[in-house]
Amino acid sequence: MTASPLLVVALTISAAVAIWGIADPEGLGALAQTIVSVQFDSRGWLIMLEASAFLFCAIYLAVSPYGSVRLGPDDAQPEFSTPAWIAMLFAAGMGVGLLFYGTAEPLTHLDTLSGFENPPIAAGQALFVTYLNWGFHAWAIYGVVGLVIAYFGFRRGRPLLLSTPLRDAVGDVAWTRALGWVFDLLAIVAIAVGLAGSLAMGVFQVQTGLAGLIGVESPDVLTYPVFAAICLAFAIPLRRDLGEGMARLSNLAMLIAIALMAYLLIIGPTGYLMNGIVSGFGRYVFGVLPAGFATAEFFDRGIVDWFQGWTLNYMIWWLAWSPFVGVFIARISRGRTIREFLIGVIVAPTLFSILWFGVFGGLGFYDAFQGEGTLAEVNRASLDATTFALLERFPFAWLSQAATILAAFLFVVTSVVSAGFVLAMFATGGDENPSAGIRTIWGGVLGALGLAMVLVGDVALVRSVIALSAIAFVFVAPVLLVCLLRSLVYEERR
Amino acid sequence: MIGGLLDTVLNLTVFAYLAFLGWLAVHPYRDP
Repeated sequence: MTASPLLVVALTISAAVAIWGIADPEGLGALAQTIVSVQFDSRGWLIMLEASAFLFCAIYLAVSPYGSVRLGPDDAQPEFSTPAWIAMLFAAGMGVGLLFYGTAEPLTHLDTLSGFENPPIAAGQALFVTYLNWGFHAWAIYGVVGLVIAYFGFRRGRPLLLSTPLRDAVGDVAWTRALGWVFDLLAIVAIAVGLAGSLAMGVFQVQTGLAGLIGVESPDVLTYPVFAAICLAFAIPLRRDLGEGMARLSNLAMLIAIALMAYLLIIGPTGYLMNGIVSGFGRYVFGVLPAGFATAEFFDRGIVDWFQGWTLNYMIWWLAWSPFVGVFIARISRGRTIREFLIGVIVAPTLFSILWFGVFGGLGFYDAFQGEGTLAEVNRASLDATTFALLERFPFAWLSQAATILAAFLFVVTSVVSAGFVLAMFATGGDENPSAGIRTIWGGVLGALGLAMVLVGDVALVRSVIALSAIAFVFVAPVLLVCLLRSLVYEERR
Repeated sequence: MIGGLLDTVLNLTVFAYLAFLGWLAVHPYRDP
């Protein structure tokens, strides 16, 4: 086992955050919320500008002659067939977040926006904002970071690290080495804290669902058993090399989620949902580019807080996850051209998000406008409970709720296992087969950070802690993009 | 007061960073 300075510093920072969070979860949550709120107030424009810049650069790279540059040697062939590749991209995009927010997010936006607009118009806007948060911008951030990793890794043959682009594109000199080291460190911290936040959300989701299913009054009594079960479930695969098995579990979770969506679409008010999806799709596709520059500048504090708590927070969230998802999508995309890569990564998962939120959000709106509106009340009381309350209204609720719990569980476990792998890879200078020892240490750190996040307890606070850990990454990602553009121009001139 | 000063410093850092990005884009490559 190599104990590089990067590994030691990254482990120390992550462990310190974990210990702080376990010792004083309220303190950590409150501090994160204060700092993040100040940053969003003063520099929210930079985050939106960056998200839009990533999307515009991705479109430019896909349509320009650079699009035909291959991610690998010129004669490289893709490792996976295109349908298998797109299925894997869906898996990367799916996660516990979709299960958690499917109905909860559109309903929350509807609540907020109904204060300003007629409810039917507010519903359209609520779906639009949800699409904005989960659509092209998110996937442009993932796609561009993944493209940078794939280009420098497979075309230039360098280690799959975030320090690589700077050292390769600008020159391997003292300041690029130093700055590159900081980039690797920031990426590790952002991934570790981001993943821990997702672990905590998985725990909240599973405990709420399980409590309803087995008839426990307060879901809180299940927190620690659920947390322990998740930790046990990821400890074993992290120790052993179960790459294939993990991919199968992740595919299973994805199939469950897709089956759930198809079931609700067919058995629910299909015409109503399809109407919402088609009009939502149109509004989104033709309005997404200007909306990406939104900053909620002339609104009162309530709307500003709502905008910061959702849209800005999501953009930071995608940035926090981009090195992790980027490594994953880079590894499966060797041999594809830049054009294929960007179109596949940005368009396919966005279309899936549009369908997903169209079905789950549409069912929430159906209850608000055509039903009793009780779902909105559940949602106001606790976002964790919304998905389960929705499933309760349909036949075979027991089965669909159990399937949701299983899918959430599998999504969290497989993400933590892959994150343990990516963290170990980053911390060992790009070793593509990091030792089981280092993977296990990272698994332990993720578990401790996850416990801290569970103790923080409140989803909004958890999101603030994730945002805090990722703010520095706002400054890393554009440097990576500039390095990529430099190298592409340089390659063309040669 | 201190918060305002810190915010000003951070804003200046952001603009300096944007200038750095511009410089990085045109900075000549040095072969090590």
